[in-house]
Amino acid sequence: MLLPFAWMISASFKLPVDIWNFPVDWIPDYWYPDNYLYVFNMSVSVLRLYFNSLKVTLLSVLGATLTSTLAAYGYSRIRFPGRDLMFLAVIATLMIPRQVLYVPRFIMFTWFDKVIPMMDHHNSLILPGLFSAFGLFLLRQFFLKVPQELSESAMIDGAGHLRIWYHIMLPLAKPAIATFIIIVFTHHWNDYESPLIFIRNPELATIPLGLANFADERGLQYHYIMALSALAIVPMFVVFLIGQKLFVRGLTAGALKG
Amino acid sequence: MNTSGFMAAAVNPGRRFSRRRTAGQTLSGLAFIGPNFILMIVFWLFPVVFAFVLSFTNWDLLSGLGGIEFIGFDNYRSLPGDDKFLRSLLNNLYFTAAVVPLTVILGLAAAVIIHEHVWGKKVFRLVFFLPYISNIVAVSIVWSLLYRHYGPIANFLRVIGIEHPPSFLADMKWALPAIIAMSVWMQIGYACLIYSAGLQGISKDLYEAAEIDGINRWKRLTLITIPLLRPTTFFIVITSLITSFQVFAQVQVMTDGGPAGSTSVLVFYIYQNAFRFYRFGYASAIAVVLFVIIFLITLIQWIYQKRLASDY
Amino acid sequence: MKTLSRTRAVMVVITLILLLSGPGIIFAGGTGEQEAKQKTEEEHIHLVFWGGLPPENGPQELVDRYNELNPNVTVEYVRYVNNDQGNVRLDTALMAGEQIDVFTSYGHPRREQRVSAGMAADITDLLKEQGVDLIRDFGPGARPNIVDGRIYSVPTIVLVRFLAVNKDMFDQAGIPLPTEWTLDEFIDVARRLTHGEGAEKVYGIIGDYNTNINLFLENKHGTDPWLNKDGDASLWTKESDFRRAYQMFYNMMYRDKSMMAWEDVLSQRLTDSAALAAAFFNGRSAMMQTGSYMLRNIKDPVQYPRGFKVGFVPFPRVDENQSQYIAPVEPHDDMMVNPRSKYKEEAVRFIVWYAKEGFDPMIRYGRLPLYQEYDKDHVAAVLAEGAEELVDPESFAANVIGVVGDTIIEPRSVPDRNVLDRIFRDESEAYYLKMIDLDTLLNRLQKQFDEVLASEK
Repeated sequence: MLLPFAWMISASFKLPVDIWNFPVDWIPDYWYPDNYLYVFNMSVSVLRLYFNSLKVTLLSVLGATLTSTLAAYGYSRIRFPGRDLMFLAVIATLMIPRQVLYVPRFIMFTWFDKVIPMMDHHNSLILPGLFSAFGLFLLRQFFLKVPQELSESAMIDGAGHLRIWYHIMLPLAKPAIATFIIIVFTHHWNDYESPLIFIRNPELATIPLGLANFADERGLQYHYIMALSALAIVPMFVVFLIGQKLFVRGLTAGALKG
Repeated sequence: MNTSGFMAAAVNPGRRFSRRRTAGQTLSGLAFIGPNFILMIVFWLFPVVFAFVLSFTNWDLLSGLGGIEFIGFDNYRSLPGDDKFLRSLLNNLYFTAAVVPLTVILGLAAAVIIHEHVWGKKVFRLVFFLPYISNIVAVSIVWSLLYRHYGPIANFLRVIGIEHPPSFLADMKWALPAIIAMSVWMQIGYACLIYSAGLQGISKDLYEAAEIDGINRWKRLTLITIPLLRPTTFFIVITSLITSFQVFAQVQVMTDGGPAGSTSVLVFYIYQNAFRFYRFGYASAIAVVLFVIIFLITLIQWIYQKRLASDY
Repeated sequence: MKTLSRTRAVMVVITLILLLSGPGIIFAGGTGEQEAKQKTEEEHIHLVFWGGLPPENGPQELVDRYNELNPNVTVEYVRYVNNDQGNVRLDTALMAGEQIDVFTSYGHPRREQRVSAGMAADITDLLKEQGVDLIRDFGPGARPNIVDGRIYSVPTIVLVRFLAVNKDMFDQAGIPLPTEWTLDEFIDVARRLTHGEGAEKVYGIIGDYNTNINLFLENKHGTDPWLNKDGDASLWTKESDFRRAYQMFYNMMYRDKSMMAWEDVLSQRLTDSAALAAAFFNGRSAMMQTGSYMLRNIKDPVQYPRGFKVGFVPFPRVDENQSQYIAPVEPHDDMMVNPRSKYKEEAVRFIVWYAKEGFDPMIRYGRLPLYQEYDKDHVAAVLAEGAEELVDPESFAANVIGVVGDTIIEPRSVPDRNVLDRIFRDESEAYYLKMIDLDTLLNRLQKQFDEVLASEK
């Protein structure tokens, strides 16, 4: 499972010419930190890329968590006409390949630009990120599994939907929300095509866009790509560990009900 | 068992509420789903409709919005005669048929093993999850290097006695399986994570009761775990289907559709038509066809799952 | 309870409104910046220039110099990644009306596409005002930049193709660097330079990223040798040189084993030029089919260390007595002006300065100026700077700087070239991988090319 990562780290400490050697030297006989130095010292430093990526990803994840948990509650707990149809419509958006949507979206954003800054602005990445069909689907599936009796008894006690959502569903759904956060975070953290289309100011670039910039007409600069990719995984560790904590807490909350 | 009651309730929640409350229900329902739904309409509906309209044109992007020319169903009509489209479709079906079951089974196995293991849960989950959270472009590059002729994978095969290991990505017969293996490696973590969360939701009491009744591990898995995880499985199968029908980055980075077109898949062909040949109308038509395929499969599963749930 | 959930509903709606407008309020910084930009624009001209090179590889230095010389103008360099997505990005931006004044197109297919779609301004008169005569200043190779008598773009560099060779290997084998040779001699030399087995094997040559037979036939037939005179049909089965060239590669791969087999090229990812360069500098082949774009790597002994001098050899002639020798030199990097630009005159002034005077920072990174009056010795000096120990000076001068031919490559306009390129690649690959035989290959190419060419008429 981990072999490719060993290779990635090993390659990130190599000269471009040695990446291609075979058999592979897993531990290079010299330590070549220049790839990392370059990534830190390039005109837009990796720190800046980090900051941008974190900003875009965190805001998207926060917003998406709010809208998706609310909506998942609506789709799983409140019955009203047209509900399933609307849900199907949301899921259907997942089925259109993104490749045909970039150009229409670009045109649309140039129109939006007159109202709120979109073009060459982080809004173009954050605002669409507030909606996650995928995350909604995930949360709905988990909400469906929470026994109906729990919310019904709360309702009899006079609690409104919002209170049930906040005091009952959210705590119970913690493992699901943790999963949701990890997946949505991963998606935004690694999204490469949207910034490529919507961001042109290098100061606003995210990490995947930084990776894309190591490509030129004649190929890729593998040594830098590997160094930057290795660095890009680090925050995912943090998110994952936090997510794991939520996992356990969700479990205890679940146990309390019994 | 009490499962039947809650499964039925889960699928048809709120049936017990009287009609008088319907208006209020609708309003609060709409309020809850509103933000999400409006965002969907704003950021997805327009581009989707635009793409759908484009599928009836021969638009090439360069001629601008004024240069959109409608050609009726011509794009759709030329699809059945397009060998490259058919080939991409077949490759894609092959890819999906291999990746989805493998991901689901291996992901479930990994999640159950990790769940029952008391020690090292975090580490194991991380190990399985690492491929999924990494940048797919970088990971694809790494794999294409691992697959090289004298690369680690080929060398390993030599060590275990296969004298002439295939040169994976350079071989028309092996390139697609090689990409499938890599994709499964990436996706296991995803299925494993979601199954893990699903397993957390299963009450320990059930297992304890089963243990007292002397039910063995295998039966516990097939009688308790798998049925209770059905909504989770449903979710994983549908999302994996969608992801696998839209496989793209691996193909682009690892083989660029080659050798000799043997790894071309639908989204790769869409991408090629749009971004390389500037045939946006044709690309959109293929996207619509792809959409219909995925939608139908999802719908069938949806109905099947609903019927199954109410049969309980 | 009914009312209760209604209040909740109202609250949710408010949250929603806040949510939608929130980011706009929180991050409204952008609008302020734009206003500031507009203000300065009134005072002086702000030109936006899109190019595909990383800024640090020349363009930024060049633009900075221009801004220094012209205090009333600020040129802003924006880099787009010159791949499929990057080009779609540029075209979408042009179409949607983003401010782009000047942009560079790479390769004639993209240039032709943009010109015929009206994405390039007619700059004939503006160039005249600047005293530019396109053919006089940029040579006959600039002819395709003129469409129906009007000029839409200015080519700025020459792309030179050559074979880079490991001079030490040639010396050891006692082979002088060829200055003029034929395909038959090439086959022979490649065979003599091949030795070793398995992972240690040294090949005579590793092909370029697509082992393109056309590059070997161009010096006799001109560009796109497969295209007939009228441009409406292909010549795959009609011109015997194609059969000959394919057979040559096939024999070199599988009979002489002097050229790396296509399966190995693919499986080792040598279709990527960084990988190809690495293999060459590691001494795994005596020759490498490449071009001036490789000079950057050739001049970089830190990232590409090697223990030999690099020599330069021209492409072999197809026949000993062919009627003309067309030099593998092609004008490239076309500068264009956006028809919607508010500052066309200023844009053209910048382009002219860029191509004629300001080009030095680009030369260092292997881009050779096309401008005819550019001092060749100066170009050579800048290019060779720091490379004295790395290259063989004589062959460098003859085959990179001062390439001589009866004429140079003159690109032809071909519709749907990208579609044809893909067919060519897929089918050639199937042949090199022994999936189809030569007759099938040529017939298939003929049929598919003709279909595409006919559908465009």
